[in-house]
Amino acid sequence: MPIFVEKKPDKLISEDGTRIDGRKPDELRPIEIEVGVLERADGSAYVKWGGNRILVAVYGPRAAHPRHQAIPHEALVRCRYDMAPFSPSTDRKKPGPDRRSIELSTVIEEALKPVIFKEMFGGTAIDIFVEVLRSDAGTRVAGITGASVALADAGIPIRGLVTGCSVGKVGDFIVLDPGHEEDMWGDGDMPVAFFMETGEVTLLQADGQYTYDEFQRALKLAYEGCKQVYELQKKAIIEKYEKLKLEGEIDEQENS
Amino acid sequence: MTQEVKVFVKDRQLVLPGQVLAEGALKAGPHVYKDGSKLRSMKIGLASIRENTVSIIPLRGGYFPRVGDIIVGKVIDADSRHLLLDIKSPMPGILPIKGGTRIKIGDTVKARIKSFDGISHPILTIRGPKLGKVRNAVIFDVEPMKIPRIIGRKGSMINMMKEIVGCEIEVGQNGKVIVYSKDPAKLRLIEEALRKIEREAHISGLSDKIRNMLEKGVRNANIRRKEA
Repeated sequence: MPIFVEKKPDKLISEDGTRIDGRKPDELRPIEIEVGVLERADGSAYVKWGGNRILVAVYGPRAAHPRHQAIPHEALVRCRYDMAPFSPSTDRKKPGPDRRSIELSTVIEEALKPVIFKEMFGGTAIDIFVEVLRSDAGTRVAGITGASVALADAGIPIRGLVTGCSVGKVGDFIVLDPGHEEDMWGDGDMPVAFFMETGEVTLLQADGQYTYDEFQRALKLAYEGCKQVYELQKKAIIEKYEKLKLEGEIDEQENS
Repeated sequence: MTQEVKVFVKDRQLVLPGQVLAEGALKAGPHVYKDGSKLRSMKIGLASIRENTVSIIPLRGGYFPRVGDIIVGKVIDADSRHLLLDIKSPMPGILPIKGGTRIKIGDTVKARIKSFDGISHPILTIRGPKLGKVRNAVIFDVEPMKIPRIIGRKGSMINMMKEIVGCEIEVGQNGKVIVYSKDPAKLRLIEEALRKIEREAHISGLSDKIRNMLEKGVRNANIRRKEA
């Protein structure tokens, strides 16, 4: 028996395109990314994306255990996506891996693999842990966004950052970054991840039905959304490393 | 036909992975890859442009063995022919031993990487000057990427530290600093200096700051010693 029962809102989007949470169709939820939040991980990131709270830790390249999983000519990239039992807005999630989180682990792994220079670290493993502390639609793309920042923070050689963003279909509208209600009762959800430097797609999933025209519009909108997220990723990294520089300069003034 | 060469970054500018550093007939140095005619960074680091080579001084990253590196490791396992050393790399190093050895499990050993194929265990050797078991020393862990800064240009930084503090210091490329001293005041001072270098590795004029810090520290330590 679910403890909380959510009610479907009467209207997800008004005729003029105002969404249930007051956003315009092409507007993202507020996003904050913080780099290097975990002392003992090689690289880490904390992503606040709307109501999502996601912690990403990256370890490696390190010895691959169990040894039989190691690949001689390239690094083994492993990802674990996990939702905390207290993370959903309604019921408690049964802890541990389930069908959904196993799928998302694979999907995140596949989205990040193409940018990692795996061939440089034969016989080793790179581990990515995506822990969802609070979920509010679009956790996989938020996870990918955070994980690529954490990979950079770990000093693992990568071709560039991967950026994820969802698009959805609500009635006749194609909306950017669907929120919880739109995800639950909308007509479609399409998470996309881009390798932004070249515009290549590393993740593309979709549920719901789209006409050819709708799909084209959705993909374009996702790219526009990713562009904004990519800027935030870059800003987060620069902020952390420029801050280090600033601390040094302040110290210099004290000495003089 | 000569290709047009364009450079988009300044020397010592902070760059991100994937960022286009330059375009045209330039050489890709360490941590830089070629994407068609574009040169892109692989890591978060500082751009470095020397003649026709663009490279990155990375700010983050672990140790990955290279042949010829002097490293410091701890013996974690042993059989009659080999010692297994934890050298803070993805795979432990193997030190083959002929005949007997006095090195036991738990000992710290300074060794050179003799051979490494990038896949299996790096093979180490202790033949060479100043290699072998480390005695009467304290070892500090630092970030491996910061080792070049601790050494300084042609050893300027480390020589300065040795001179001012007055004790022998050696480094392992895998992020280990060996300090041959038992004086707590000296050790404290050196650790403080190492942490400062780690924190501010990418700031210019660091040598002078470390010199000031150490000289001040030595003076203060002397005062403390007199009081005691």
